[in-house]
Amino acid sequence: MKIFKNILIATAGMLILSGCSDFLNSDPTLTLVETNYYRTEKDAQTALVGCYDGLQNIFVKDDLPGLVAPTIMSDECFGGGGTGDGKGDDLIDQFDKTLSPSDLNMYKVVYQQSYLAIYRCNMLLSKMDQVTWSSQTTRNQVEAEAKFIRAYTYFELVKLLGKIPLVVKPVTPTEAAMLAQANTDDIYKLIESDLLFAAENAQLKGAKWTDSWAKSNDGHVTVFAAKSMLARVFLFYTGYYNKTTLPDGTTSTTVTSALQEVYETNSGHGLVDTYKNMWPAACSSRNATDTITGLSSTYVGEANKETVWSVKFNSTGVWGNMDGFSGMRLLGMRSGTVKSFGTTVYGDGAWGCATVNPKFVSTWKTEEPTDPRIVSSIIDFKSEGLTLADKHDQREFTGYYNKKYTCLGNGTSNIYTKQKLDFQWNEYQDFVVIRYADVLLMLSELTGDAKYMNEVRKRVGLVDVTYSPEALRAERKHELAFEGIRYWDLLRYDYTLKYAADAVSFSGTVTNGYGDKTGTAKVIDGQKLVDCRGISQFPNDIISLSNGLLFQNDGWK
Amino acid sequence: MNEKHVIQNVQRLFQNLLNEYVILALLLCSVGLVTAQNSESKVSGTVTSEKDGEPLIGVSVMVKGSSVGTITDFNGAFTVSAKSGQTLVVSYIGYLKQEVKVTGSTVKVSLNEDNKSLDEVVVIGYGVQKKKLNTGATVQVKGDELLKQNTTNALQAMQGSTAGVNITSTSGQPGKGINVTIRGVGSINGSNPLYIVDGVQTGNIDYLSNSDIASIDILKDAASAAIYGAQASNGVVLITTRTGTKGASKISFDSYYGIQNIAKKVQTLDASQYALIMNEQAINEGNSPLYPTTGKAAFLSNYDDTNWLNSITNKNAPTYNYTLGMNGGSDASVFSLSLGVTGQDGIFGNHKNSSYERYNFKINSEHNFYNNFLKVGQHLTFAYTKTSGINEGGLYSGSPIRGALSTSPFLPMYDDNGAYLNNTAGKSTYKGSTWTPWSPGEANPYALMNEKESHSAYQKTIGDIYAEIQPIKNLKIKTTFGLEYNSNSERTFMPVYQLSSLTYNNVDYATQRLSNNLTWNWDNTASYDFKINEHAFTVLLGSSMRKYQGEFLYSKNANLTIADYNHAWISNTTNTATSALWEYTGGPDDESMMMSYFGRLNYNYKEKYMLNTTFRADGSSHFAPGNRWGYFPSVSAGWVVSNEDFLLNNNTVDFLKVRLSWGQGGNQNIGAWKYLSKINTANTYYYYGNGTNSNNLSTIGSSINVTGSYPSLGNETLLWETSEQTNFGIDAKFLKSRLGITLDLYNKNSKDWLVDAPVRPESGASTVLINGGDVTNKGIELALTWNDKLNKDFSYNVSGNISYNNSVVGNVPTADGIIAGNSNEAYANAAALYRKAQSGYPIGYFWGYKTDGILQNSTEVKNYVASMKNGSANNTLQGRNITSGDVRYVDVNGDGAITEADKTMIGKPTPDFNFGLSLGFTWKAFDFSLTSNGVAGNEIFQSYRDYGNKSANYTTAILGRWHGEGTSNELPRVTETNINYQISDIFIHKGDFLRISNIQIGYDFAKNIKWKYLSQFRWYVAVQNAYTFTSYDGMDPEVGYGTADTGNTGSSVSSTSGVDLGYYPRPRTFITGVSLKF
Repeated sequence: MKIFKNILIATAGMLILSGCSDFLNSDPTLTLVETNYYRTEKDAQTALVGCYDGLQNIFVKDDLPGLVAPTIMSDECFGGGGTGDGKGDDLIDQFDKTLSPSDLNMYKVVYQQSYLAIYRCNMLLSKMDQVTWSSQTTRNQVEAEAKFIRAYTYFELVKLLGKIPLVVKPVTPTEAAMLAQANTDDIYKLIESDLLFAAENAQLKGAKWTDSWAKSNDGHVTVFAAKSMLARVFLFYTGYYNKTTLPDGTTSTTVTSALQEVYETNSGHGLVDTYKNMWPAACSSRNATDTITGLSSTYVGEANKETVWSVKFNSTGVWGNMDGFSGMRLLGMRSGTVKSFGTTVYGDGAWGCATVNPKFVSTWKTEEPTDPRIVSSIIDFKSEGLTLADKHDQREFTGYYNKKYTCLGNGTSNIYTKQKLDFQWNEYQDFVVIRYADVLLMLSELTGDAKYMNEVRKRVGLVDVTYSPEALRAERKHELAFEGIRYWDLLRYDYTLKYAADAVSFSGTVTNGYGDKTGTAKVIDGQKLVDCRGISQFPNDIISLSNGLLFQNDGWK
Repeated sequence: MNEKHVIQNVQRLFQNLLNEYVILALLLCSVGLVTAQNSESKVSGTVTSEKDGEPLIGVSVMVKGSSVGTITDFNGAFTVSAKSGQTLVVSYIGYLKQEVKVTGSTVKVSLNEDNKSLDEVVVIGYGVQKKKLNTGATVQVKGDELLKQNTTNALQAMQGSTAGVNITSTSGQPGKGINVTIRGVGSINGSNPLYIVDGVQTGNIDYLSNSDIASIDILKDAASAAIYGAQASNGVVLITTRTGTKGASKISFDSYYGIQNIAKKVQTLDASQYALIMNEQAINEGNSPLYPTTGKAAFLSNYDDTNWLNSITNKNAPTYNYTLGMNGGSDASVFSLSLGVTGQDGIFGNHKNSSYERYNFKINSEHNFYNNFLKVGQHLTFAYTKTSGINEGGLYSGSPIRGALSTSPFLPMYDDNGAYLNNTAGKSTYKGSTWTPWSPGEANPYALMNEKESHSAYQKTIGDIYAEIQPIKNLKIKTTFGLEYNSNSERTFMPVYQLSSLTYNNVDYATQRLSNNLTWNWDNTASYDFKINEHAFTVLLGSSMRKYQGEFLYSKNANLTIADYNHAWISNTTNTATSALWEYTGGPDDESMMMSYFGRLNYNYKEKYMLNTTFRADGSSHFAPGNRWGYFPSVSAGWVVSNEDFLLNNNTVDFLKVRLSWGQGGNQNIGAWKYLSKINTANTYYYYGNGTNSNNLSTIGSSINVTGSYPSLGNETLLWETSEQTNFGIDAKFLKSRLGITLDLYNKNSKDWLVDAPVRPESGASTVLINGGDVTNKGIELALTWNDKLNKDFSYNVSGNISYNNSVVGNVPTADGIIAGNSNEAYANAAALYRKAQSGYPIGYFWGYKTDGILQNSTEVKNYVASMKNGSANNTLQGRNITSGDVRYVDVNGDGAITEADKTMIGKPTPDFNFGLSLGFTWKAFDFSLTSNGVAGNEIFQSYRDYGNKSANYTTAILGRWHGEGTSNELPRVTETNINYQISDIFIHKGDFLRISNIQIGYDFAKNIKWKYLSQFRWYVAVQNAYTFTSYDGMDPEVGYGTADTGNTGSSVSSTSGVDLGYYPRPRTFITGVSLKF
């Protein structure tokens, strides 16, 4: 029986499999984990890329932010889109939730992506001390860029949605669940201090913008970008909230002198010689030959001296992680709208949202009949000889589209598709957030001196004017048309919002698709803008996630 | 007349049972003894089968109480030395043992087949058990029954034969998977059961040939399944493959060949009908008509009249199978081997783009050492599967079926040059003129299907080697090492084509995908049977280790040197310039390890009272250290009432057992390392620098940070999902075992789902994985069988089963108690059509507006609008343009406005009832069988059309639309918008059906051909999917497709089913085949 005993012992051994607790341990080999990261300067630089990527995602994952929604809300554009589409864009255009009651989450993605970007910035900012830095300057530079991205993201979100939660460090899901709406002043305080820090420490501190710098660094936040953004925030905050300084006391003088540094200290920035050359569709014509782009163009390129700061887009994305400017697919002319796209530089196949308000066009033509910027900014069916295709399904057709940001074609199709890319995800035109022209216009506004704005006028061959608020406002409207700026200007010009309400009010006729021979009446009631204080609908899903801590904005309840 | 016979058989059976052990003991004692029997007299005789009188070959004939014996020859004859008065013990595998007293020099014995005897054995976890002692709810299907169904997948053959098991095809396309749900969906993370083939765990059994399966046992209740612990919450399917048997070696050959066709086709509008509807649509929108009243013919002459569904249909698609099997063995070794080829072409597409081929090879053997002291054996199956399939599934999959249903008939197939017409303005010539697209953007679905060519191959090797020693009697110690190795490859060729301005491929490319994975397991068990007086015990202790590892590589690149499928290899691609055209990825699969200890105690007293209990401890690498171990107990009891004195000799009740069980199982279906917060480096980048387009970029940054949605934030507190189930059951046999009844009632509560709970995005993630949520499935299952033999030539059987399941979600761990479904599933830009889970509702139910008919006239419109808040048409869904012919959406919450809040449950994809009925008879050499299965109480969500696209074709159902008062109260007027096609019960159809799944008539020539080696030569004809009784107007009511979702497993999980977006129906197949055994 001895053998049996041995076998029994051996079996018991097999059964117990002692010392195998390590058997269940394993570590991922394709990903890093939070605990072993943020150690080296390279980690920090790549984490900063993550912050920029987070910022880019806001524009990639949703069509509306930054450009499309503000142009629709302003007096520049209508909702547009296809006759079979949902009416979410109408809801935005007319500040009226009853136009599309089921659209309760128009800005949910924007909200989510904005906070994810902010989270990345907060995460990096909270790890600054554990990184080994090569110099204080580098550290400050990284910190400045992350802070700028955070400030810009908050600024866009607070303008859009009003009272939003304020998060200044990484929070856990449990902590996040307890976040209530912050006082808007507290949000502006953070924006103010972040921008002040960035204005002193970001890239190009003590240096000039140059072509060679831009060649490899365009997109990085510079001290000039931060100073200009500070001025923009100052003007919006003081105008919209009827204040004289930013909440932490930054005065007009401080802001003006900061802007002067972008101007006077010879920052390297300046106006591009020819206005139209900043906009691909405005400065291109068709090639005889059907090449890749099929276009010949005088485009100055993305990193030109007038670009103070832009959010960059590419066509290198992969499915699930695109990096194109999604708003562009909405702005491009609707598929099948133009009888013969083949004769234009415009791309076929886009969605035709944000059709341009004819009142905006006619007013401009009255105000500044010889302004070449009209042609550079607006696709005009009539004057460009375009005709509507049979059976097009463009809603709110007005005969005008945004030309600054539109899909491009080369005669048969989108240039993107010609490059084997899907135009819906691969629109690589950058979103220029601040142009030098805006710096000049803000300087005029802050100083009451027309010399800056006359530089802008001079470029497009217009005669000098003397300074008046109305002249300045008209100049901003024309120079910066369809760039996502006008709406916020309208809101800040008069804190009672009467100015904005008057501007967006509309009564006229649009064409809703093929067969709408007589046209359809369209009315925008400016009072609706006043009712909601120009602030948009808070995403309902986020409200329901908040357990009663977040509330719907006035006018949207 | 046969009743007496049956009684005799049953009596004989019981006697045999009693005698068996005695005989065995005697035989064992006599081993090695040289007997000195008086062998003066010889007895000769024949052994035949009682059933058909055929001689039985290789039957053992032993003289009782001695070691003298022989086996019958090919004529069933034997000669043995025995004296008058001695008893011969005649035994043969598959037949009841018989004892015959020697009275003269010749003996004639006829043996009864041992079918469905009470001594049946069922497979349980890590062992087998007598069926009558089993106290859990299990169901067994024999391989022979599966074989008869001629399916390529064994699970499909089980449809309708297993109460409480809902089996649905995920598609009718060859080689597509089967969904098996045991006793209701228990988790939003999928409800697939655990598959164990000969003790080796595997993901599915698609690779198995029906002829290699000896039996499939399904463990339905938690008490039966709990021995598989953390993976048992959805039930366990145990497959036993055929092993060899002692005796003369046998060869079997099975083959069939069939042709498949569509059983029921959906009719789409032809050009004339389509023109009518399009015209009406335009008028309804206030647009000008397409053609003047008398100008229809002229209008139509501009276009074609293509029936797209016909164009993609593959007529008389073949299906075939050839299997050669051999098995046999001696006392020392037994073996079973087989070789098989199975193939099936799709009824859509053609052999190139929709087909399935499988080559199987199997060898099982067992070897005996030292008089049963040591047994060593192995199982090994190799399967090589080649598939190609047309696209199916969601809206954006490019499914040619959906394409065929919605592409306008106006679009011609070919242009004047015979090429596929390019539906881009000015790019094709048709009927002599330049083609102007009728519906820009729509593309020829037939061409779309044919342009791409893609084939996959899967190789699976699965098997194990085991050794079992029996150091002392009834103590068995077994160690098993099993493995599963999968190697997959896929290759795709995409040519350049342009079918419309939106459907094109500008550059040819090839993709190549390779992956392989290996799972090994090492199981050790020790079991001991012992008896203390009348108390019988079986103790089992065991341990198990399991590890999964794998790797993958994928590459895609463009510009082939020779642009065709044969040359579509990555090495033949030349693109180096455009990075966007060039994809590559590769890496290890997430590892997965598991370690387990388990035990079981079976006890019975006189086979009258039974108590079984199991316990399992599982450690899984999927969870954080500290939360790795889960513990899963079960206990069950049974009472064989018929063994009590008062029922012992009852004439009606032959067998009656009641049983009660309780147990817990787990579900660990989440990916690896979900407990860690991962930093995502992949796909996170930002390009700084100048560039006018993508080709002019400079610095490439690489970014690192915790990203938003995937991977989500880690959660160290994650635990198993648990399912707890109580079962009460009755097994009974009545009327001399002709009537069998099995009844089960259960209550299954599955809780602690692994749920991606939405969190506030301020936390840096949109969701975080947590445990929470539960669902209760309650049900009842009834199975009845009736077998009878009317005379020597005719016997018949009828069996049926029905099961009812009711599923209600308890708590859902989100703020609003809802886990929402995805939108864009019904048609492009459509809202979500289902909710994954909501308290008080079934899992994955259909969610949308209720409708109340069609607004017939302006008065009804006026009244409807007046019923809204402020009497405002803006509060209707249609808005101010609401008019007669529009749908009357119901204001469910009564707030005077039709809003999202009015959406409610409009149906559910899971049936209340599952049932099956089969019947069969044999008469002389003929046999006949019919099987059917069905469901009731479920709904199907049908959406063939893209309502955002006004030119999409309709099915002919639209001819019954509202087009004037009283014309329809179901289908709204046609419009160019989707306003009447918001997600509502308009899309909902009843899903009840009864399918006659197989009708078969066979004839066994072996009964007439007197060739001594031939025991079976059966020729048969069969119809599969012969007829389906249903009110559903789609092509197939068995819609297994749900919405594809990436579950928390990281793999694709459907959170709902029954969504018909142009579902690949199951074919109707005419089959003829032969089965040979010799």
